[in-house]
Amino acid sequence: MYKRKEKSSRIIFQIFNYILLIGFTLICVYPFWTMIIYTVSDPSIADIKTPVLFPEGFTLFNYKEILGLKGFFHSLFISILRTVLGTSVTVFTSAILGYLFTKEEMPCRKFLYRIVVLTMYINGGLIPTFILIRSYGLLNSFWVYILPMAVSAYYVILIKTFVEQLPKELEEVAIIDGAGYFKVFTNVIIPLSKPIIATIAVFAAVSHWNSWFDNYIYTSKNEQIQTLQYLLYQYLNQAQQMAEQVKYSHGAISSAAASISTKGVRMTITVLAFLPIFIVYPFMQRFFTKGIMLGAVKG
Amino acid sequence: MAKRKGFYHYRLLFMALPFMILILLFNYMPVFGWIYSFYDYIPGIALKDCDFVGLKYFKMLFTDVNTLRVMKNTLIFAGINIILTPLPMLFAILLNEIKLSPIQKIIQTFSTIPNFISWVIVYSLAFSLFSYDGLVNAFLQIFGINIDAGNAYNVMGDSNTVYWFQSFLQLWKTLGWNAIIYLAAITGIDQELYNAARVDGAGYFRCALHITLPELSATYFVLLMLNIGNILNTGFEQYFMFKNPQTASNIEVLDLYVYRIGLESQDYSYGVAIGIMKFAISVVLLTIANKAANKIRGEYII
Amino acid sequence: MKKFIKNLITLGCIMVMMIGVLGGCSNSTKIKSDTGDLVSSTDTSEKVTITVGIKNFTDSSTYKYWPMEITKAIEDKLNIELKLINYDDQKLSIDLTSGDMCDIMCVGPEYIENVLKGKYAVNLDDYTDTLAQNIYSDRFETRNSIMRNFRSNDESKLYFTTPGELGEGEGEKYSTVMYGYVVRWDLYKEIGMPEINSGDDYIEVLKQMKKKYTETKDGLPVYAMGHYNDSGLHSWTFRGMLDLGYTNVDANCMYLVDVRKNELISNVMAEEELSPFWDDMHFYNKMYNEGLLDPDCFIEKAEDLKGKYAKGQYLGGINSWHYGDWNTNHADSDESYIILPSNMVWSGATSLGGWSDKLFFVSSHSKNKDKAIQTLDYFNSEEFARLIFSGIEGQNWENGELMNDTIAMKSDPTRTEEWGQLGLSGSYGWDSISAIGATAILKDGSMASLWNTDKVFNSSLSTTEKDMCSTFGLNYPSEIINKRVEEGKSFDQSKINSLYTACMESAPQDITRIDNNVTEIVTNAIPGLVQAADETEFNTAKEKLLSDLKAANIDTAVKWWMETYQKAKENVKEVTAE
Repeated sequence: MYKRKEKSSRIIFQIFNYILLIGFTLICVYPFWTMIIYTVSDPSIADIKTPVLFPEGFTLFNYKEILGLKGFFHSLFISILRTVLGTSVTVFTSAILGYLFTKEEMPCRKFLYRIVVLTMYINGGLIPTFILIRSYGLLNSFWVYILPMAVSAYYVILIKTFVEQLPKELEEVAIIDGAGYFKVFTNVIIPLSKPIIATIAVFAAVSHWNSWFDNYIYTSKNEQIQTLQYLLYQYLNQAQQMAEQVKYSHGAISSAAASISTKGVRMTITVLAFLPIFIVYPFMQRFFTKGIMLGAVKG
Repeated sequence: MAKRKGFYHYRLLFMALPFMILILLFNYMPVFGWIYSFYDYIPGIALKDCDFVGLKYFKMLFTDVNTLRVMKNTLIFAGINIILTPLPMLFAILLNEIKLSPIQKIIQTFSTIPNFISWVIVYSLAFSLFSYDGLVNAFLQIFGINIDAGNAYNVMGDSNTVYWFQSFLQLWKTLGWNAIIYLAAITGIDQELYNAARVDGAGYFRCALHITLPELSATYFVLLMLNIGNILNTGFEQYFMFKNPQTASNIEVLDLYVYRIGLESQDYSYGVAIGIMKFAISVVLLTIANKAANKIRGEYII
Repeated sequence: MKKFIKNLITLGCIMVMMIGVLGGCSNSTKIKSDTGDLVSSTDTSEKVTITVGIKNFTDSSTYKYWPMEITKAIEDKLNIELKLINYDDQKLSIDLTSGDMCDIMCVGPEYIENVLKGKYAVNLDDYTDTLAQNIYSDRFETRNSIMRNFRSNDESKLYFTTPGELGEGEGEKYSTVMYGYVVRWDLYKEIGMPEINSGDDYIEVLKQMKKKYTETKDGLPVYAMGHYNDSGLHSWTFRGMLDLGYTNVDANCMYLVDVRKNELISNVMAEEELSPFWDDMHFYNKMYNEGLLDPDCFIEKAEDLKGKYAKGQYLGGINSWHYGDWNTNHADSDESYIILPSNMVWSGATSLGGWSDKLFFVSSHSKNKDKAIQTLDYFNSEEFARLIFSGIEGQNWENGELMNDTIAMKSDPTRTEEWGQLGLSGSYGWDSISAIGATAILKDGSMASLWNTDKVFNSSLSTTEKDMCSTFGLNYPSEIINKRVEEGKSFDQSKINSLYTACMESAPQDITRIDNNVTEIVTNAIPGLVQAADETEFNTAKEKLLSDLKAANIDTAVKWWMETYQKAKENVKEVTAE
């Protein structure tokens, strides 16, 4: 009797839950969908009649323009390189530091941890940071994409919190077996922390993929290492400048200027910005699906 | 085990050393720039050639009549934000209850989309939805609710609802993304705890209440703590986009105000001074919250 | 688990490989820059790259058609490779800190102190008779003496040049009316084309037009007009400026100059009959109470406005900035927008000192200083002005006239590519580089921009414009301006002395701070004023605004502006008397 009641209330809950979550997902997806159909719609029609469900007319103009940008493929390569390399470095450093801060026997642990946490709130300002980066010789170097972002307090905190939640037995077994800290880290902690490592990998990949400001400030004079996001930023800027220029331009508006719509460019760039998460996240999700079974790890 | 006492633990320090150096180089060295707040710094001119003004900019911050208003706005937004912090966790728990794996994955992926939509675009989407001519009012009209320009509702131009409206937009934008951390944390929970509870006859709800929630609480409190330290850093992009003559007085948060008076008028030193004040307030808030956590939970979070 | 570690190791291998690749990358770039340096220091006649940095500009690295034919003509002439770089304030302050900036830079007057105290600008006086002969030509005498007197930190040297110089009798000229009363031509004809001489006339016209056209084809509501709230007070005070005869001195339209009397006023604090702001507040208040104003007018931005124009939701407006898409889509019908002139017409303004907000200088850190000076000098030449406004001699123009093929190319949608590659398009900001403005008369007796002739104006009319011209008996739309000026119904801007504002000091930070605050207070008071139901409510809102402004120290700022303008006037008299 009790069981059946539990079961029926559970079914009601499940139905409610599905409706709620799918509903929310639709609210998230629909604006994105309108953006996609806007970017492939014929701008002269789309401006009059905003596309609601399907594109109005069809053109790949926006995407062709972006693919045709000078240095598109080179900067795509640099962006991928930066994302892969930067993410690996960030994940590794944050994971090991996060793990070290869980060791209560570590001297000055609290102090060092607080120093790391405070980096989230401290900011020297643009110009001093620039002066330092220059004095480190990192100006116009690829490493300026990687090193300043190598240790992130937020990820360290997440890892530390996660590792502290893990059952201690496995680690103790490994230490009794004579493993050093680093060996415990690679053989025990990393496999157990796969979900959180996957999470910060996604976070780090996205922030690497989408950042352009460091490119703008530190490396804009080295075209060899221009990232895709910076290229797109410049492209968007150009569209805005030209829209602005049209205001003051003498005489009639030329058709070349009129065909670039700032809105279209911005939306196309947003669609592109979502691409990596679309590729990386489902791949990372396989580390999310199964809960940890202590037994499974032992085997 | 015995030999590992004493000096052996310094290995931990040694391992952390390279990373701490990185932090020193890239996060703490730039702090020398705080000295700029005591000068009338003009980019391009050596600091020694700029006028020393002492605490002028700090005093300005306290005597500015707008400071009180923008601080009030910032605190209201931050307060609402903190009230809403359990929602990503709740979302993750509910999502975890979806047992159909493909649907779960789809929801998980697609609910993160809004995080990637910049505020500029969110604004133009919101305008097409909520303005007088927007879809929402058109929709109401279909259902026979008679609206004309006189009594149509325009939430974007309403200064009373602006706090909740903006918080709601922010929630929509970040919910799916922030839930990722909790999803990871749920996966980290030892399955044997659930098995044991089931054997004791606990239902799903009781499992969620007595196992999942407590197991997630550590993550929750750490994030809450970081949020509390972040109270003054609301960012300005969202508020900048949605600010208009009707909402301006209520929507202007500290970061937006700093942007308006600092960046627009090239006040580099004033910007630095405000950065220092914000840091000081963050440290104070973190310390208080940490002490409170120690009183309540018996341990420091940070 | 072993698999996971294996994955990690593979990842490590990939990392190492990538580092190798990168090493290659950075090495190769190093070699490039090294050789670049070598070449420049040994042989100046070798081709070098000259970079020009300008704030808010179309960066040449992403511009689709770069290098255009015009660029190539410049590059061949000077034997350089030209690059135009976009700057913003952040980038500018970084480059001022490092000194590593473009060979030629363009900054606003707020950076003069940074540039001169940091010794970043080359003193052009050292090159008077050698590399900078165009800069020192007679045409620029006035400009140069202003730069020397007021833009040199009291050193009396020439560091800066400006673009857009237009001497006496060379005032601006456009083919169409740029600003005034916007009307939908078909509807305006339908209601019998009543003459518009005041704001009240215009409201009447809009009211009648709305009766003829209550909703769009798609059933969307129609309004008289909306507003863009992302350009300071511009949208809310511009009509009043045209009506009363003022131009703005600052970007927020808080301070204006009377174009006939050359007197500065504070827009908000001036007496009500004199103030475009209060004129406009009454105007929009009336419009609101007539139910003509878009209820979204307080939250719209330029882009939203553009969208609503494209959907045909507006009947009127104040300028041509946002209805372009609608007109393009309705080029073949008479449903397009046209503009009828207001009291003051936007035409005839000279620019004796050039555009005072754009100061070009050669960086003292430039590795190719001589070439950079030569390039800046070329920007100051008549040859350059003709080139960027009218194209290449023999190909686009000859004997002081544009060739028909070039005229046809501009408005032919099938030749968009060709037009873009040529580089004459007004949307690429060449005109903010050329020291000589479009309507300046060159030594051959023709204007720099050969587009400004009656013949060309007449050749590129849309259906609506043709109709308008035949209705009013004109050759081209902007002729209506001349007509009205002759009749004494309108006045143009030829009496304004552009030197006065060009010579003003830029505001110190504490004044800027007051101004920013005041602008904010005024902007936020607009909804209350416009939506006031009756006069008492309006006056209450007005009193409140004025007392808020007093509390925000507006008097200090107004005093500063008045005094600075007076000082500039006296200074100009001294300089021009010399």
